[in-house]
Amino acid sequence: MRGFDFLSPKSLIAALRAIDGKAPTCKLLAGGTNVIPTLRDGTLKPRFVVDLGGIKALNYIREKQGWIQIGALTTIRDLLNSPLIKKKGSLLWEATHIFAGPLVRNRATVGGNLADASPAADTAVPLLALGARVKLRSLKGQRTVPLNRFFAGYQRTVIKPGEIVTEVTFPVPARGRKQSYYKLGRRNAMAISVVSVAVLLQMKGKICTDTAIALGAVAPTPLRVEKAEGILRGKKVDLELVKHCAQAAAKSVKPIDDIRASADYRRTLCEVLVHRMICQSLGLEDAD
Amino acid sequence: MPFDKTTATLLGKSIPQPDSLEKAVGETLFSDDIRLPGMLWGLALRSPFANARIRRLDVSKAKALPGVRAVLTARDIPGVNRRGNMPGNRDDQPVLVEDRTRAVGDPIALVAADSSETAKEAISAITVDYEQLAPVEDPLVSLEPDAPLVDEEGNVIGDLGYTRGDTEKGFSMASAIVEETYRTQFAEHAYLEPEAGVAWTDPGDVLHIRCGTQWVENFRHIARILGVSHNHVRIESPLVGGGFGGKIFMTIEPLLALLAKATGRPVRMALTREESILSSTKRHPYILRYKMGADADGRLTALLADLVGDVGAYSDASPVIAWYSIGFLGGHYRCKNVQVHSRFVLTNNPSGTAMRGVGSAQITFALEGTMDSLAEKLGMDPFEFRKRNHLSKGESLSTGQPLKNAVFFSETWEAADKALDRALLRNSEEIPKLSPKVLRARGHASNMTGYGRRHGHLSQAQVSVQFDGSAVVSVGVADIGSGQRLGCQQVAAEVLGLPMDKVTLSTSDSQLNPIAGMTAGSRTFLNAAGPVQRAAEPIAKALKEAAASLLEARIDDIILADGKAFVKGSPSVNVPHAQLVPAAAAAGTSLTQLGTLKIEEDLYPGEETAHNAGWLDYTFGGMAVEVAVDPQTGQVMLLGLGISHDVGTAVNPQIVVGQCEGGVVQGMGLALTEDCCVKRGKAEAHDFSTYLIPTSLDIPSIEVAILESGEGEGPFGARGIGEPPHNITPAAIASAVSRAIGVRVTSLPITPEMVLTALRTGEWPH
Ligand SMILES: Cc1cc2nc3c(=O)[nH]c(=O)nc-3n(C[C@H](O)[C@H](O)[C@H](O)COP(=O)(O)OP(=O)(O)OC[C@H]3O[C@@H](n4cnc5c(N)ncnc54)[C@H](O)[C@@H]3O)c2cc1C
Repeated sequence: MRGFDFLSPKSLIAALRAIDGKAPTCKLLAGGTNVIPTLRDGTLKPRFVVDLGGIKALNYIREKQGWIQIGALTTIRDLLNSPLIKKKGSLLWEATHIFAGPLVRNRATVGGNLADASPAADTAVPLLALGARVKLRSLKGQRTVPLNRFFAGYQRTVIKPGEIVTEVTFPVPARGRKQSYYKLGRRNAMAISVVSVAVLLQMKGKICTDTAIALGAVAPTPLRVEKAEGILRGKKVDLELVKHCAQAAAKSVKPIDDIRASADYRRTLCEVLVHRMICQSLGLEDAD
Repeated sequence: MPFDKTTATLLGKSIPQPDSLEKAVGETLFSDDIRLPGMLWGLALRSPFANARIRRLDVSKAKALPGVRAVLTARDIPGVNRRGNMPGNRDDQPVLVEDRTRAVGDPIALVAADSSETAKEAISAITVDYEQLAPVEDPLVSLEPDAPLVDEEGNVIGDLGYTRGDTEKGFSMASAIVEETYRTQFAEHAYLEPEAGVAWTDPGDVLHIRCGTQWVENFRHIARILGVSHNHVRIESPLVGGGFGGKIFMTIEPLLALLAKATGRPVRMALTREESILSSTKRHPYILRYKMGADADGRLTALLADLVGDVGAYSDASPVIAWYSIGFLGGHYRCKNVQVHSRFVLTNNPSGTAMRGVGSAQITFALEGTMDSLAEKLGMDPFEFRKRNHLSKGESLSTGQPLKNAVFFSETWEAADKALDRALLRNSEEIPKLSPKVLRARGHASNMTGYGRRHGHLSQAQVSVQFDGSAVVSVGVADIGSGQRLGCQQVAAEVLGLPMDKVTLSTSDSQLNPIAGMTAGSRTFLNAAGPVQRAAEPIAKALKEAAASLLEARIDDIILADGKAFVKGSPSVNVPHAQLVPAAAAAGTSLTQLGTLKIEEDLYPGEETAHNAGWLDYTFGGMAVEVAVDPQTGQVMLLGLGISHDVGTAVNPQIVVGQCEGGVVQGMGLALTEDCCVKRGKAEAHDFSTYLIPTSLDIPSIEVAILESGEGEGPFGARGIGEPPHNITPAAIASAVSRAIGVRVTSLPITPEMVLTALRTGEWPH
């Protein structure tokens, strides 16, 4: 690890001042579970590292006017232990107990997971399906970006120099929403997703009134598959329709070959898992 | 005087390892924890290329940096620039590369500096001008006559085999024949403790190396590298954080030695996980072709095995492993017509070495798979088919070696199957939650693993009793975590009739302890605790003689237990050891005894062509596993696993269970997830996010059934159990998956993607 100046502001405003004008030589550090490995292997050589860990005010989980608000420095363990998340954001909760292992969960933050913008980021997939928004602050002010416009490419986001992610927030899903999440990894813990799927469905009888489908590790960024969603919306859902929807989902992804799986397998699994998640949440008998 | 098991007090007791708690809470000092005054930090510059000529190497800038105390290249080696490692290999591996790299990770230069930062800076200040050459990646390509030479002496380092009977005739008598080719992967030992250590020179000019190793005898190779006599090098191994065969031969020891010698100061080195995986030895990938035939009664008529092993860049331990493989290829089945052939071939891949079961995991996977296929083709139950062919006690292996001890084939197979039932019962909450669409099946395997190499070497240990009756055991063997020290302690305490805390140990020091050889090959209880037993016996005899005269009884009636001697049946009238030891000394008995074990190289009739392949004895076992395969994703879930081995005598049942469970978990990795993914000679998977060892959440419900025939060559009739549970696991898992999907699994690891492809195409993808 090369030498750098280590700054530990205790408030958001102090942090914003600390980073002001320093980009691109400055690196924000939250839990450090992504940053430390890149400092260690030399891919990252910042002059300043600004540790956000001291900003206690950015660690919270609360419900306000129909929205769940999560401070950027909230750890994965905090989410896992939160009865509120378990009850009203079960899709996100599902993603936290298969996230890495206890040691990493104790440090990893939700803000860091989103800002790192890995295609396999495990909180991003359910948060996308939940229609989450990201709050960003700079010395100039505050803005809110919908999560599906937050990712700009492989490990890139729309965060501008001088900005810090302060919060991620999503509307409390309406009662009776069907939610299901699945992460396919090569082992049961400490696994980077091969494919992950989050499905949210609002039903009125057999009619799907609204849906959200998000996928991870199958494109440069985690993504919503809007075409596939459109196939279900406003329709009576039967197995035939689910099949169409799953096929459409598989068509809209751009997976790659890597050490964990081939692009072909990932694409196939998109179809299989989207199909399965929809059937499971609706209690449909999965034909194959 | 044969040992009387009926009066034993410690035999069969699950005494916990004294260092377990200390390790669990992080108090044990491992090699990486040692700091010495004035210590320097050592670092190696390693080749990023598998095959390259070094046109120019310039270390002048690195040398000029302040705080840099030494920069060494091949030219600075005072002795012989060869690692040596295993007697009988080609001695083809330089310590530091001279002009050509043959593998990724080959060390080219060494640096010692005041801080690790300065050492890193110095490494990056070294310039190397490489001329990259195409690496030989495939052993089959390397075998071709016009293949580029990896080594000037030729690419084939071992071409071995033997023939019994007439296989052609045998196949002509067969009513069913199966021919299959199996492939296995590069597997990393993945010891939790990466290579680390310190070296320094003492005022008597003895170079000390304190570094986790499985073999303190490596001091001889280091002396040759340094150009000094053997007595000037001393290896002391701290407790080792796992070895699995990867720390038998030297890792960083010669690098430490060179830097300490050159600087005259203590030097420390510690590899990162990435450097460790990129530069260390691996389990050999095997390409195994089996052709087997059986008659309508299900009796084997012919067995043909052809093996190509990928040696990697240097011969290292491969010549010996080639021999072991020959010994296992013929299998533990009765067959008159056998032809076995193996070739071990150099490539520019990571070097293969010993890994838990030295070649037997790969062979068991292929042999048992072929046996299953043949049973299927005959329309026979796999157990029934094997029962007709399995060798029994007294019969000979196809190498010619007779099996002189119990062969519990049916016993272990059935016990494993029952153990699986219990394992499934324990999992009875999860199983009903499975989708009805999963493909469930049970698979089995049987295995034979050697222990105790017939190499004619001596293993020795020393036992001393003190005047108060307590004892010290001294044995030059390393403890790699599986209870080697405890085994020696328990045996000494049992023979001397002492409580455990009255026996202390001095181990793992190449100059202070009698040498007992490597901690490897399921040999250590036999080869280390065995000499301990032999050393303790004459002392026990002297104590009994003293007691017999004091108690006015016959020596045969004297029992030594819990630090006292008494006449069998009347423990209340006793004499403490504290009184017996001085009496024995006065009678002229030496209170320090050396115990020696020699395993003879004797050949059995007809064994000449395969004699090196044999072991003193073998351990037999069975495994049963039930899997659920998701037909749409290809994921394999282990629902439960039962394992049973005949361990002869379970001297410490908890240690046996630990070896079984640990072996299974490591075997699961080999079966399902672990693969170095070597491309252009480089392990693409070189950290623990890509090299996937099982986590605690992946471990299924495991039940262990220990069987004790009482027939083994170790102390009290014990057999080796360090490797057998590991090498049977991939075979059993593959058997279950094959049944579940209806396609024979012929390569490892069994990835979900391959399973899915097999389900869709009806063939296993290679
Ligand atoms: C062993 C291991 C296992 C892992 N397993 C998983 C897994 O199962 N699933 C998964 O999704 N990830 C996994 N990860 C990746 C990582 O843990 C997560 O992405 C984690 O959420 C990152 O959070 P952090 O707080 O540690 O981020 P850091 O490493 O501190 O930061 C990550 C990035 O975000 C930026 N950043 C952090 N906070 C902010 C902020 N408030 N505003 C703007 N930028 C910010 C940093 O500058 C950096 O670029 C794993 C990592 C390791 C080492």
